[in-house]
Amino acid sequence: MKNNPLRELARSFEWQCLYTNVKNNINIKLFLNKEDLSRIQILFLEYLEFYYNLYIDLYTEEALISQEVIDNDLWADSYILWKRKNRDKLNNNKENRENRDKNFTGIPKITFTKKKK
Amino acid sequence: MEENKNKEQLAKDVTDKLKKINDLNEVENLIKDNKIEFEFKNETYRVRKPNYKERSQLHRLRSIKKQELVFDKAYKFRNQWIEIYKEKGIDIEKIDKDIAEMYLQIEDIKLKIGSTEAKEIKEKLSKDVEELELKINRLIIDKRDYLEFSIEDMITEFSNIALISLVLEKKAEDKWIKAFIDIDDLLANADDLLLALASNNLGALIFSLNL
Repeated sequence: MKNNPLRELARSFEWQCLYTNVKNNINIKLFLNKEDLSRIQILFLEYLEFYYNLYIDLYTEEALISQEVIDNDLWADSYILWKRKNRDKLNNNKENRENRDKNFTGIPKITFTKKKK
Repeated sequence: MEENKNKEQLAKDVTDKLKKINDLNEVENLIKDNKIEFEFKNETYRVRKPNYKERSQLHRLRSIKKQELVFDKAYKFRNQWIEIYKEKGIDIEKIDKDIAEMYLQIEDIKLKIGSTEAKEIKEKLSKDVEELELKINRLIIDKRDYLEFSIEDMITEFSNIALISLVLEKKAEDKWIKAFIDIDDLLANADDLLLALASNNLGALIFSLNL
């Protein structure tokens, strides 16, 4: 399947470096115009953010992400779709793990409930 | 016959020109500013976003055209065409349902692609998505053909042309001047390929873009 050249540009090393600097408040202009962005410029910014997040996942070694996935439009979309659908599940698992590690005392947990009349 | 040949040649010319856009440098040219410059027959043109005055002019032109079409009994709305086609055995509403169903199927397949690391499975599923997208595109083209003479579609087509007449500019001795005085001038003198290029670039500025 053919990749979209706008997305290829957005995931390129050069543009990702520029975007990272912009996110870190370094004064760099991405476009000649400051305001009144065109539709394609807005779309490009969305793709910059999309690939920025994918690269973060790659560097933090999230499961199921690889450079091959990032380089393929459909696989990248599919990964994000899967991640969004499983976000709650993933977050719950992560929270449960963290809570379990934090609260682990070795003593079984007892829950007291009111006796029903 | 001659007209069909011309149309084929025009379609090929447009495709050849648009293929160039796939070059990344060309894409950079599209995003660097909120104006897009392009070459046609050794002249430099540009399209830009319409300002408030131009948007008002467009609105006025659009409403005049709408009244003209609505009060002319020869023209029909989309819903009327849908009913006419239904009587002839073509169900356009079913086309919409089929398209929506196929988009859901694509989403399911994407979830499977996203959830596996196996390259062979990803590749096989990608082909399934490609086939579905091809089917969707065919249905969209069919639907567009069926409804191209509906009042709504004709107004959209007219609005695109009217907008081009307002914001297409030509470089003349380092100054930008309007390429056409008004829509009548454009309709009388514009080259079809120039209109196609202007329309595609304008699409990138204010609508969506099919690269």
